[in-house]
Amino acid sequence: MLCERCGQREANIRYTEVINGVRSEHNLCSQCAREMELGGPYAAIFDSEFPLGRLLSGLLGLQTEDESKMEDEARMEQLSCPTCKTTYEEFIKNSRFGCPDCYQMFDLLMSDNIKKLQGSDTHVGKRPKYGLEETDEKERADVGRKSQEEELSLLESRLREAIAEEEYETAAKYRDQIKELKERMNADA
Amino acid sequence: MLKWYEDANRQQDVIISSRIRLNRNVKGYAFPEQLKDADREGLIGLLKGGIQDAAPNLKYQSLAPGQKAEKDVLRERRVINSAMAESGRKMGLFMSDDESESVLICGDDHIRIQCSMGGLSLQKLWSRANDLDDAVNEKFAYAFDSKYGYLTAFPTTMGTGLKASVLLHLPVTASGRQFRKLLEEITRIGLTIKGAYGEPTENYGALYQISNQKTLGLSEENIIATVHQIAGQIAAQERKARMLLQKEHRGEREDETYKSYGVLKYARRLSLKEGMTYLSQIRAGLNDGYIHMQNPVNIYGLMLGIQPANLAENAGHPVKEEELDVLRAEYIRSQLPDLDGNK
Repeated sequence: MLCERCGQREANIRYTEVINGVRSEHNLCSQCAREMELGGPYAAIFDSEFPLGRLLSGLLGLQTEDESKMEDEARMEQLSCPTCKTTYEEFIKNSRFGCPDCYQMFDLLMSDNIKKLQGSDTHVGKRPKYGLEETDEKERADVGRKSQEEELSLLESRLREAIAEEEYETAAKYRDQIKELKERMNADA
Repeated sequence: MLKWYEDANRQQDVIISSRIRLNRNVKGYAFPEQLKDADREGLIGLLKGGIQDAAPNLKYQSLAPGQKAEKDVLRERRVINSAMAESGRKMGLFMSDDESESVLICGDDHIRIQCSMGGLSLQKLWSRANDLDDAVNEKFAYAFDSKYGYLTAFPTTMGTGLKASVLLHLPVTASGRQFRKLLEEITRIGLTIKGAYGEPTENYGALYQISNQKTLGLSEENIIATVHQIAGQIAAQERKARMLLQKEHRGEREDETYKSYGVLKYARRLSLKEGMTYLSQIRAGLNDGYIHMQNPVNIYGLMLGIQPANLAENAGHPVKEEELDVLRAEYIRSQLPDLDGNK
């Protein structure tokens, strides 16, 4: 069957729409489906095996649109949690952390996206009644120290790149993140 | 012992039940998916001992990957989710006799506390879950971060680790023109609503679950208050719509209810969709006073009972697809009380 929109390519997506209980079916090719941006952010569904997973990763992840960012992107994806070896790429792909230390490890890279997903990036509410020691925070900082250095160098290279491309708004964002990271590293040390 | 959803004295109100889930992880361990089999086995043993001490009223059962039928029964009764029912990993489950309290071990997270009961009772459930959480926490230090809160395997549960949900029966609202708009509104305030039973594109029985989508940056009380308020508002809307129908279309509604009763009481084969649809009609008919039965019955309990895995469990042997429809019709005939002719 040919795609009902372009009439040229083979239709490989059957799109069922239910509006007010009225059901209509459309047969589309994946390109048209993407172009129509069916379901807006849900468009990710059309090129994935795991719709829900991809949907989340779309929100969480950094989409690679710019060729020049590729190299940097690759470096980021290789960043991995020292405790459970989950890489940043895996985290984005599965929308899933491997262990509690991943939070510290991917902290700065993901915090903007967490904000987008959750509407906030800071917990309020209940804290554990038992087993919460001040030394915990310190231990976690030790685990994260090496990763913080890696993160810093990544952020700095992104900053340079943004300036080179005259994307000043993005650059300002990296500058703030670097500042925050440095402050945190100083405070930890 | 009666399950919480079998309590026949519960009225057939729009609000069926409420549920609180808390996701927690133990410090020093990777999340279950990432754990090696031997480590997971060790952790399950450790958690089993501690939680049994913390909650002596709960009974333990192991959930091995091969126990698909048992896990499907639990999925249909909303004790575990479908990902857990499909999972090839070993898990453990503590559950009270009436199924209102449970603790899942090594599902998505190390520990998932769940409390359910009939009606709109999130506050009560939260205080119960909160106490159980403290009791478990006394045995195990949790993975917690002052910025990100309770650390969980999925970024969609981090922070409070809390999912508060209410199950609603919305036969009239859901068939109305405004429903789609309502769904959009709900998403805008950080909640989500989805069909509880049926196919992705088709809902069976008009059961809808509303729950919080955001778990970070809001206090537990705040989340619960929002879900409570919105669920209450939607329920009020449904009741109001039914009142209007009662005034203007009493004859049709009565007819629908009795036809549904007739089919359920005499049919020899019922598909899941048929069963759910007619039970939904009866549930609304009982609530709105179109039909009266000799004995009280919890229709939601019957809706759980006619799900495939539950029917098979009830039969006590593996059941083929075509046999299911026969068993379903038998089950409903035996469970549905006779009509009260005096009213």
